[in-house]
Amino acid sequence: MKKTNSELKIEKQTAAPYLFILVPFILMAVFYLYPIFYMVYLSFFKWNMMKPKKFIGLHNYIQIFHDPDVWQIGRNTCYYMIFTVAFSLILSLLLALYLKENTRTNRFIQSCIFSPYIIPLVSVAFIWTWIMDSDFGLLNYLLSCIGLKPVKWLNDPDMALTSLVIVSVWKNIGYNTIIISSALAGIPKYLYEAAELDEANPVTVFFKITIKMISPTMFFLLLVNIISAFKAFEIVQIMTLGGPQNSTNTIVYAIYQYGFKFYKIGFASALGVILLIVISILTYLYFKLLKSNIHYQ
Amino acid sequence: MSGIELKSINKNFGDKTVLKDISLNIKEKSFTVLLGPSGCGKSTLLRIISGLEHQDSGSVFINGKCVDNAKPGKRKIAMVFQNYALYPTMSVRENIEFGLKNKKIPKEKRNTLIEEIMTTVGLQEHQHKKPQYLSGGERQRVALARAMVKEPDVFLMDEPLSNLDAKLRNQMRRELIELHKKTKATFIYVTHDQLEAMSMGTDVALLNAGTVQQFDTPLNIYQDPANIFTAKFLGNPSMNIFKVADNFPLKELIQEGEFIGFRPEKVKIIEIEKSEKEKSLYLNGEIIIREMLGSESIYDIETEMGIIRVKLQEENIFKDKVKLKIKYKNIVVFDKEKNHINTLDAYINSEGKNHEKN
Ligand SMILES: Nc1ncnc2c1ncn2[C@@H]1O[C@H](COP(=O)(O)OP(=O)(O)O)[C@@H](O)[C@H]1O
Ligand SMILES: [Mg+2]
Repeated sequence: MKKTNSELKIEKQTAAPYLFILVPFILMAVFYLYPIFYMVYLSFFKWNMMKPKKFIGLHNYIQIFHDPDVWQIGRNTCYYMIFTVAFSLILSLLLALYLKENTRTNRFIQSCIFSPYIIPLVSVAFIWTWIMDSDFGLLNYLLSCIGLKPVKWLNDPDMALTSLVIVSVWKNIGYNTIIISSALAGIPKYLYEAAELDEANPVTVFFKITIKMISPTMFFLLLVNIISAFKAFEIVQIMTLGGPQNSTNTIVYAIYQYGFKFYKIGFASALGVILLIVISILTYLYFKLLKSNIHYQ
Repeated sequence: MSGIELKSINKNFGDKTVLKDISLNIKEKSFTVLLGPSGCGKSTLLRIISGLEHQDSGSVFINGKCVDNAKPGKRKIAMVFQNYALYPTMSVRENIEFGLKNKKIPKEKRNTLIEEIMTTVGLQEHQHKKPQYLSGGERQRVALARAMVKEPDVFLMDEPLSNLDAKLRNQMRRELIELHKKTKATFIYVTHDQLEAMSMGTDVALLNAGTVQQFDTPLNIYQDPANIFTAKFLGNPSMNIFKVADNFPLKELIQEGEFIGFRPEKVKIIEIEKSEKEKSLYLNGEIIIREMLGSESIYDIETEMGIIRVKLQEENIFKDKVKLKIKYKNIVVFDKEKNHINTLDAYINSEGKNHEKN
């Protein structure tokens, strides 16, 4: 059967969009999909980049679960992630609530808070390495001024990871506060008026209206903050190199160390696969929860 | 003294005066409509009564008590907002329950109250839905239910029907009238729609630019407008108004600079002039626009006075050249400040007497 002109045109039209996405799709395949599959593939091998690869099945994974270092890395990562995320979000929320009134001073404070976000993380890490220097750092100087004992910050195995948490929180608060502020500004005023007529007390208003209305934003920030905490690398590389005594070694830094310092490519790949799975689960949970019970306008 | 009393309310926003010396005595159990063009300060006045906004000077009394220092929740009022202001995070039921919970009403009592209201407004099947999944009419009902469940002395409503389609609006108008009868509460209803005001209000306060132009029953305002603004605001199409000038048909009878007005439905189209006992104004005209609406028709007719709008019931006019007749008793005279003086026949009599006296 012969196709009419218009039918042909429609066919051409339906092909066009696929052509347009072909280029980005190829780029994605080369730079995202291929490395992911290659990583999964490598995780089943023993390979130090010199000798030929040797297939060892799940041995890398088994080794991971029996390696006390890996368990410590896991604990470090969770500690860093939980405290960074919790403090960034809670402090940002309090700040955003405080800055809710759009006065001149508040706008000034807001831009001050936002500035850490635009400084590159590398610079932030360097600056804080100086600030937290145990002997000549600003922080210890300030502590001594108010009569407190100096803290060894990055040199103390019990304190180093907490120090990194402090720096990350300082860095994250700007972005989080801006996002929460705009969510707060987006709550219609009439809801508060309706609540006033309904005789709601300030606590009820805060939890039943303010928090409920910004819950999608908070949830979004939660996921973004968790994922970025999992991916922490520069800050460890510049400030502590994973030490002292492995106390600040987190997963992405460990993957880098195992891969490019100890040349255990297969082992590092297996760790990468585990990180991939954790982040995939989190993302899946995010979308699932989002659908079920978080308010979106 | 019951009802609501407003005493010399003034309100400015920055240097813009929004309400100027408003004094109103709103009767208990009345359905009082605050009517006026957009931006005249109706919502502001309603919000001052509710306590959401505070007046710069003047006082509000509800049931004889001064409420100037009472919080909105303590004024025994309930408000229906123009956009309903439902809590988007709560289900229909939670929306209605919220106020009751805050008042610490026990659970069993809450449940009976809510069941009752749900049946009244017909929302049972929707009670667990969030407002975003409801139609405009259903949201409107939730907003009403949320107000009703508080059993307030006063219902405040700010253009509650303006977001509904025409058919639903007609239906809701009737339901609101019924609700008013049933609840025996005082209703204060803000609208810019004269039809809503006429059809629902027992009293109408007509506002313009922050002042009360007239406060009366809708019929009295319609029949006896206090000034040209009220005359033009009520009635559709609005009253024909002409300034008396040179070579004007009635200029021997009325002073220059004064105004006359007559309603479009009071103009008759006649075949031949007959001399009658009742005096009338006769004009020749030519129809330039016809609007046939079925049960009625509206014409723009060019005459020596200017263009006159005429509304006729049933009959349709197909010829272009027509003769018009307007009875003197249906013509209203306004003074130079646009305030109502009298109907033309009464005006002539009193002017005559004045002349005699002089
Ligand atoms: N919060 C406010 N700040 C400044 N101006 C306002 C505010 N609320 C209302 N106005 C102004 O007051 C006037 C009356 O407003 P409103 O009472 O809402 O009028 P209406 O309800 O009759 O349309 C308008 O000109 C409006 O711009
Ligand atoms: Mg308004």
